[in-house]
Amino acid sequence: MKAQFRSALLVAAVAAMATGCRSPKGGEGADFDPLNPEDVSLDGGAGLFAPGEGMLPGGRFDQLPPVATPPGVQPVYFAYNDSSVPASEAGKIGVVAAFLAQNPGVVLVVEGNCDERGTNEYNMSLGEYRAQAVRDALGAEGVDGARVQTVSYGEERPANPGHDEMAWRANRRADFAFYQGR
Amino acid sequence: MNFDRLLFFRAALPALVAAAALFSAATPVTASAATPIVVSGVADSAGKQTVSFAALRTDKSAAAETFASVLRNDLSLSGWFIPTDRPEASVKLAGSVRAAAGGGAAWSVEALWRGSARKTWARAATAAEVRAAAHAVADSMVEEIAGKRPMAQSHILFVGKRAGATDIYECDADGANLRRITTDGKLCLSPNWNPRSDSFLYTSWISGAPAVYQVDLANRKRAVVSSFPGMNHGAVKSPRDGRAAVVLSLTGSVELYLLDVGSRRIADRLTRSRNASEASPAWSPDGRTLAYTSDSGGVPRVYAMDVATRVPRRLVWAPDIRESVSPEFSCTGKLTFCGRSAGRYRIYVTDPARDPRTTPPEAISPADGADYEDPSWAPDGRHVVCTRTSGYHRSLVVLDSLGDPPRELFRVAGEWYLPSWSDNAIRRN
Repeated sequence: MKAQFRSALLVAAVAAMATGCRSPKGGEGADFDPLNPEDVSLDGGAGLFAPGEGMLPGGRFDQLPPVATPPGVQPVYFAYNDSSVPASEAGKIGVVAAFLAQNPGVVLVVEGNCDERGTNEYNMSLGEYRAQAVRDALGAEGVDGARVQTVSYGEERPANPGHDEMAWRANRRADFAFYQGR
Repeated sequence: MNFDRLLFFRAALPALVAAAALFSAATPVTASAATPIVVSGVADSAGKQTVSFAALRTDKSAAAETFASVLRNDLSLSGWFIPTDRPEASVKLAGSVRAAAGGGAAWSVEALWRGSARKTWARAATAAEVRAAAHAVADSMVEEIAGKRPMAQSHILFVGKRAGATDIYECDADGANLRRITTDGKLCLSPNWNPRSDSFLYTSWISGAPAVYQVDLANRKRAVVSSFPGMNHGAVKSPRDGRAAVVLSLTGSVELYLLDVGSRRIADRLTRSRNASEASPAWSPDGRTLAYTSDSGGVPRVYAMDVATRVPRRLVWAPDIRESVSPEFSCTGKLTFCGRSAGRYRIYVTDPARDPRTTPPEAISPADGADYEDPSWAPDGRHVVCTRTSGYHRSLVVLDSLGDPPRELFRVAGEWYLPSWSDNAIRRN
């Protein structure tokens, strides 16, 4: 009885919160609306830190000059909750390995990504394992591991912002970013 | 539309938004005040006292009204008081609050309770200090009159995403004073307060690759503390020795490490779980136990290890909780975590000192179809702030482990998630 009453209170409270939610679609990338009274300018744009203060010093490939992604290079897609490179995607690894063989000054960052299902922290690990799996597959094709770095974005950088099976399939991927090493 | 009024409204917004959020969230509490407030399980320990504001006079100046309304709201949010305008109450406030020089306020507030107990709070504050001063009086009343741990002077850190730009933000425990800490606009995650709540650690991609940064709020400094190849995640400082637990993938496997923050060197490796991932470390109050998530058993589950022996034990056994993640200890050693049950993420509370096989965790988030994640304890050891996701929109909600209804922390356009609640004493100087 008490538990039931408590549940009723909780539901009432949350209903009250929900009715106030101004954008039912809400969500990622919602445009800033200067005429909406809820879109307050929080601090006039001045935070405690200038952008980039305390930034990581060098050593990362992604701070080198970018190299345009060559034609034919495609993201590697993965099965749900799986970090192994599917056999059907092996050809894409070969294309990247061939490009690196022809361009010995170019280095590569493999970016691992996930769909939105599961927790953020778990997806961060899964993205890392996907990027590592691609790096290992490149190694098997003869690419020097020192030319490949990995980064995981977890579920934070979807290629498709949707929330259905098609979007999820597009988001379970490893992207290739090339840079001029020397 | 009267444009002048609109402009005025916008100028006054930070306060209004906070007030609106509080009032709307507080509505169910008021509604239920007509019937007795019912709390679950631990009803007796949750006994509330009415506190009368009938004899506390204000001169209607803006600062005096702010002081009184912040105090009143804090007492309500503490969970231990029911403010009322009726003269009859368990606790009676008397005295006055009036305007002081420069838009500030001066007050003398006397509380009478249990027949003969009395205490007076008297001070003046500048306009900029009025809210903080009211929080301090509220906390003192919670300690002196209710005999409970306070939280009104604490702050909450979290990630905010507005117009596509992601940064670390902070607000007061009552949801007011929302402010931005970083201005990078880049992907960032997992802000965690350091033990003294004068600084925090978080992960940011501002350099391209993820790295852990330490932000010193008092001195307005930021420095890299962990930038190993691969992941640098979930860093949280030990209350014992200032070393941080952190998730790294530098060997290829995602594992927990101990980081010496001062020298930025790895002090130790805590887990060895090939083909599994560890995440979200959290220290016990004495710094001897580390709770964390691992999927070494097939699905993500919460474990705790004695840091001296490295022996892990599973903390969640309830068969209906298929996954358990994001543990955090309260100041009294209770554990909150996020569990997946019947397809939804819920917030649970449990006592890790009891046998987890016979003591099922208690769900404290409502079953309303939304997902509740990333719990963090208030310094009162009673309330928990978490992320609520509904319709792909994320906001911050404060839950009560003793059964009061949840409240939305604030309502401002944007995505708000991954909160971390500070100690109650914020040291900034």
